[in-house]
Amino acid sequence: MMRYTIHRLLLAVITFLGITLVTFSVIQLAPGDPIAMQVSPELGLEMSQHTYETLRAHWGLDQPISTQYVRWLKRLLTLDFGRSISDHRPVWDKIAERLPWTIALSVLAMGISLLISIPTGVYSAVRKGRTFDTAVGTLLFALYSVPGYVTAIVLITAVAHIPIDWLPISGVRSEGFADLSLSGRVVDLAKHFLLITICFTYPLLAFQSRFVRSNMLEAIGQDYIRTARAKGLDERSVMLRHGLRNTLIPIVTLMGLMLPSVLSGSAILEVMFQWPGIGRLMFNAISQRDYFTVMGISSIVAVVVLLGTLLTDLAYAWVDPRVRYGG
Amino acid sequence: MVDNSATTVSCATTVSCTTAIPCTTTISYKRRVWRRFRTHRRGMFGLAMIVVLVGVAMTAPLIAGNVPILCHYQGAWQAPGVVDCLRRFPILDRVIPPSYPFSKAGFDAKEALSEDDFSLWPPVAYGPSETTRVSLAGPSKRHWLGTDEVGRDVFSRMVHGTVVSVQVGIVSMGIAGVLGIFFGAIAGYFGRWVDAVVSRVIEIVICFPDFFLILTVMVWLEPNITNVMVVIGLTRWTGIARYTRGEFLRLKEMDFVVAARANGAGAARIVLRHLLPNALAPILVTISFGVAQAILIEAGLSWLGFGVQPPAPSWGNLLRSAYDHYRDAPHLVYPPCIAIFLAVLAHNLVGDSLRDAIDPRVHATGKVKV
Amino acid sequence: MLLEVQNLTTEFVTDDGVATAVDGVSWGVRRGEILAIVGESGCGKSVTAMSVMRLIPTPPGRIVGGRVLLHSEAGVAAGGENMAPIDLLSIPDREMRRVRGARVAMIFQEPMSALNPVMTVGAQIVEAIRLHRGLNRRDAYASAVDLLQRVGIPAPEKRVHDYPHQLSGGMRQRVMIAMGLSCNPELLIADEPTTALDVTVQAQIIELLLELRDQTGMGVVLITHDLGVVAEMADRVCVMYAGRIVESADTQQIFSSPLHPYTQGLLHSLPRIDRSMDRLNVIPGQVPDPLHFPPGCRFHPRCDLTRRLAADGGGDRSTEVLERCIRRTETKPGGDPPLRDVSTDHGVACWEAPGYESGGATQ
Repeated sequence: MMRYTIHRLLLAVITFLGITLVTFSVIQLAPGDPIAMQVSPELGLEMSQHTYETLRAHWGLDQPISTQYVRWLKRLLTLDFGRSISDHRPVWDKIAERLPWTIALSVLAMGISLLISIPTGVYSAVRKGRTFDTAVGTLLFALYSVPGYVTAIVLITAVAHIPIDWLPISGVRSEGFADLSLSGRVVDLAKHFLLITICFTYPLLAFQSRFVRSNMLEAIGQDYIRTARAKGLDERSVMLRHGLRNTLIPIVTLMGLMLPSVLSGSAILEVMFQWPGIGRLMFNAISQRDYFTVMGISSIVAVVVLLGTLLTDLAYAWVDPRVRYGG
Repeated sequence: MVDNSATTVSCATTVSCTTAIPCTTTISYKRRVWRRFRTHRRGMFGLAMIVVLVGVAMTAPLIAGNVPILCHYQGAWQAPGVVDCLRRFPILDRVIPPSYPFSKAGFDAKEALSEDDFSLWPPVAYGPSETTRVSLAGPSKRHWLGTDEVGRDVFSRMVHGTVVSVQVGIVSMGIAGVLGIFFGAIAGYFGRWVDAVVSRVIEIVICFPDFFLILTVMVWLEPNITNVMVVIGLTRWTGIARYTRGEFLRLKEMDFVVAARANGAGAARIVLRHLLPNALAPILVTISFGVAQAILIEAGLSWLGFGVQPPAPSWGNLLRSAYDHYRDAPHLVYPPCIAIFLAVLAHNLVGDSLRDAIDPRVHATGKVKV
Repeated sequence: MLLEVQNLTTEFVTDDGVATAVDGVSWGVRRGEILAIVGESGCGKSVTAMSVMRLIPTPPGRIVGGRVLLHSEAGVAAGGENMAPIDLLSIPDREMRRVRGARVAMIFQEPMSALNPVMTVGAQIVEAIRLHRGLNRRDAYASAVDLLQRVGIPAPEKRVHDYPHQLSGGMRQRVMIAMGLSCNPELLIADEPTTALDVTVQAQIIELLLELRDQTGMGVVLITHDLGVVAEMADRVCVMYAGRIVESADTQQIFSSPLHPYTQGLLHSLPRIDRSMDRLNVIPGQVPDPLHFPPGCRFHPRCDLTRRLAADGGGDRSTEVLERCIRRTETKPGGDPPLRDVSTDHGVACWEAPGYESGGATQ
């Protein structure tokens, strides 16, 4: 287990270096000067040659590329991403106040989808070809083909027209949130979470249920299931103790693989629901050509994804003895 | 299955297809996959939808446009609609001259053609960028799906927006396919350090949320359809590469490949003649799912304003105006939503059925020993 | 008698029709006896075993007829009253689960895939012990260690915490056997227990099974295609072909005087050290597909006898034989021959076997 952990950690470091190198190269190779970009010529602002040189030196852009990369890495480690050009706040502060909202959404979406998809997938597999399986299967396949943002627009329109007054369609807090009691605040937050969480969760749910089902079917076909039956175990124990346990292993891997796509999905949905998350920050930064904020977000997202993958790898080793004890 | 005799039972129904790949002639393998695919009603339905989608994209000016398909104008027969339609394709736009005066800016065919002139109009006689005086109107006989905020016909914009989605699907997956097959093939065929390097690169790209990467790149690139297609292609090749690599790793140990090598076939010949044709079907599965994703991403990017720029029609732009007017014009919401859903569904159906057709074990009643 | 199988018939429903994998098979096994069921793969021997355990996956499979009688130990029952046998095919699922693993245990061919990879071998044995013997966890583990010791696993108190992938193939098969023995079954069904193993390990496993039979007095049904294993282990042999038993006798007789051409063919195909052979004899052709059994005797397309006679051509004798075995005409009696006793405890299903005409139906 120790060796495995070290191995995975090393791989994560290599991947991290790879990602930052790609990100860094994109900055360097991209047309346009980040310093010049900070001033919008269309506003008629001009930057003096002196200011320009000073800024270049400040960001180390006058150094050779390899030095720049090392410095950039160092700054990354100290979470120094510079200041945003839109409000001149440190980029890290902006990210830090947004990141929890996105992570809360992702964790909530993944948690809910797991809670629902495992029983659904298992039950579908056990009842393969029966009414439940066919009906749920068709529904999930259709859901899987509806992108979250499409549902979001439909829901927003529906809520606006039905009209459901108590259901907010944007932001995270109502006006006067500060005056509410604790329970009132919780309810208010929950209301704001409701629609966006639905849109975040159901694509995951649809995908995961199908995944659980097919993995469970594969597990059921294995010889050890027959052995378990031959022992005299009842079907329930056979399915849960022997079938499900082997199905959980690939699900753990799937969770790690899905993290990037969950975060990807955040951009559009957060903009639609005006959610104060990292995706909307990214959108705003890009719209304002807020160069350092964009780079900061990219790096942080990469780190979050890597951490997620690393955790998944370790969890995988924890559930699969073949990995734990070196197969 | 429980034992050998039962295996015979299952095998009798699927004959030798359980191990489908190691057959000697690739044609029969493709044919068998196709035959099995045809039995999937859902897959065929998806394929039919894709055909309709591509058909609509190719004939968009004949379905909705502000020039007649065929007319008798000032004593001469002209087919401006057909010309428009053909001139949208590369090469043809150089060969076929535009039909004067219909191609002239500001020329209004509806005004110019009198009642007496013969004219055959598309079912919806509005161009995608043609503005009318009625804005945000609901569906009517004249405007089947209503009009948008500046009075453009939504149906016409939907039809012409199909072109964008089809283009994005084909071009971005074309790029991704070439990259993915190339890298997957060299990794799978050569193995060793080539494999190690390629696998690591794939892992890095996979780790990166592609939508964020695309957005990041879009900071520097001018948002237009070409850039969108290229960027999607450059970020979505990893799935194809992984599939290709896996198939190649599996296939290259098979008897027919070993035999080919023993007969002195070179690397290129083995890859192109023996490995690629046999690996193609699984790769097509990923490509089919990939097209669905590409359509999704393009619509999302356009919605955010980083994709196809208005006033050019695209489903994402239509979705944007729907979002901007969800209170006063809910009828704008459904056309792009349903179109995106159907396009994505069609490709998912095809991908899913194709996967089943390649690997019938998924549907076999019991486990079949291979 | 410990277990009696009567007229067992099992079918599989496929897209192309109904395949009868086991067709009216009958056999019995006594306490302390090892019965071998032999045949090529696809002859229905494993389906027979799975049917007895009621482990045929339904659908596509289904048991359509017959009885499987499990007799209680006569005279041992309290009060000396003889308990009636139970029919495993007609008792409810709940009761069947109490039989599986407890009174009748089964071990499988592939010890790698037949063990759950994510559970320790101890946990897998304990599972059965706790289920049937109602022991608490500690006692069950102690019992599992005991069992591992009995099947010859060194350092069992350590191995009990191992996962299957940490053990060698032979060790895994021993674990399988320990699991089978965990509740002192009266009958052990071993489906190709040695097939996946190295020859030396095979010998050890055979040795172990014989020893355990002697210690416990359980009956053993051995499913195998390996006549070598049969010769070393079995007391009685049933030879199966195309879903039917074509010959049954005690091992001695099968090897010394086989009556059915199929049995003879199987024996001829064994490489012999004591006799020089120009070439290895093989039975031509393949086991027929259960969807399309040949008319007449199911073995006739591969049968030496019919082939020879057909090659001769003409002659009253050969015409008569051919008609009966191949069944070209409906007028003469013929078809697939039923199993008949030709001498004490020697049944055969061949029209041409000596004494077949006058033989009585087997029990």
